[in-house]
Amino acid sequence: MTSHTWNLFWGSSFVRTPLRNGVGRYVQQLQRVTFKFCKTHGGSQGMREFIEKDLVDFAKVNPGVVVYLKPRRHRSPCLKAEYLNGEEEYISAHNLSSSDIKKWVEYLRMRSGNPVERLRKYQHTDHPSIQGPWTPWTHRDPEINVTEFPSEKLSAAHVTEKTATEQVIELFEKQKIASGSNTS
Amino acid sequence: MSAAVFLRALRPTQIASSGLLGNRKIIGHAVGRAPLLSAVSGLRTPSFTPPVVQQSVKQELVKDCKQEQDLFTDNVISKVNNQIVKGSHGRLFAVVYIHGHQHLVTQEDLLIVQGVFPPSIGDVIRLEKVLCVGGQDFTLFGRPLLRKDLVNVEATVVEKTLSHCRIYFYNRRRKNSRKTKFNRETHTLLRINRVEIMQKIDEVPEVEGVDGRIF
Repeated sequence: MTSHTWNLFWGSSFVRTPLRNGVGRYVQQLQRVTFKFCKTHGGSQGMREFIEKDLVDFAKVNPGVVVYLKPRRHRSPCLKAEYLNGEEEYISAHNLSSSDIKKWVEYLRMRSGNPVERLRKYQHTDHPSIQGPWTPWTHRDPEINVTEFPSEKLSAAHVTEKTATEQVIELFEKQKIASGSNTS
Repeated sequence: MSAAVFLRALRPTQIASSGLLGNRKIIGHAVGRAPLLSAVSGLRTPSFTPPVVQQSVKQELVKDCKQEQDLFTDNVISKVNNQIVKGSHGRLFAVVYIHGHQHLVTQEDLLIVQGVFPPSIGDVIRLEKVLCVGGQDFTLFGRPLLRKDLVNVEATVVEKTLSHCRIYFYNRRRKNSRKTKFNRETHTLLRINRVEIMQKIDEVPEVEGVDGRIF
């Protein structure tokens, strides 16, 4: 598949947060987390270890997040996160160690519910211009408003470098000053 | 060919108009023994009396504008300070240097920082490397950074995610060699909470280099 196809698969969006989070107050976007696991199967070993050791700390640190445990026989373990904007995220935890599960749980905690998409820009602003957007007249001399065209002065060629004659005259003046200071 | 020999062939008036002596103004012709033009003195003396040339002095009247300029700068500074004190500058923008990139930010706008960024969600950060700040009527440029006492840019970390998966596919054709790499970058979303100027611009601190820190 080409990169173009992958871009279509991912979808594209601009940078956004749900309901202008952070402007006034910051609100954690994770609503609830469900841990599904099997009590006996080996694939859920990491999950069971995580539940024994790290789950209570996670719940204490995040009082606004509801934590559910769902023991389900003969099924692979998974994490399911639900966010305030209604989006859901599902991550399979089959054969993952407890440290890996901890990292994925942190990832789910810190996300907003917005789906992962290719970002077109890494910045968003509602006020792109403060001093006024650029126009062709922004850095022009307002004198041109009151000149009559064609104008000889404005039509003259822009000379940025010194002409050879000017340079020779400059050298001559410098020489004079030097010789004058030497003799005096 | 020495100059004296060449000049011998011309008359004084011809010498003046020839331009050989440059922009020198001929004010008169000396009578009697005249100074020699050539450095080879005593060997050959010209038979005519060469003119005594006087260099024209160029003088320009240069106006001393220092007082006017000082008045102008004081006027501008006081206008900017007035706006800062009253808070009438309106919405301010700042150019902020973060993680190797420069961004123009205002209040309420979102910014993504890529890569490892320690602050966690809900943390309020102060962006200290400010290159310039401005409003509608003025802009303050730092060299290269502005003082930390002067500008305050605060941001909240709103989200930390992973980017979409970027796939790097390498193929050497007809060599049975191909490689696929997958990469997801960590993204930190910052919401800029405020951009404000704290001090008057000509308030120089008593001690330089402290930048408002208390040790």
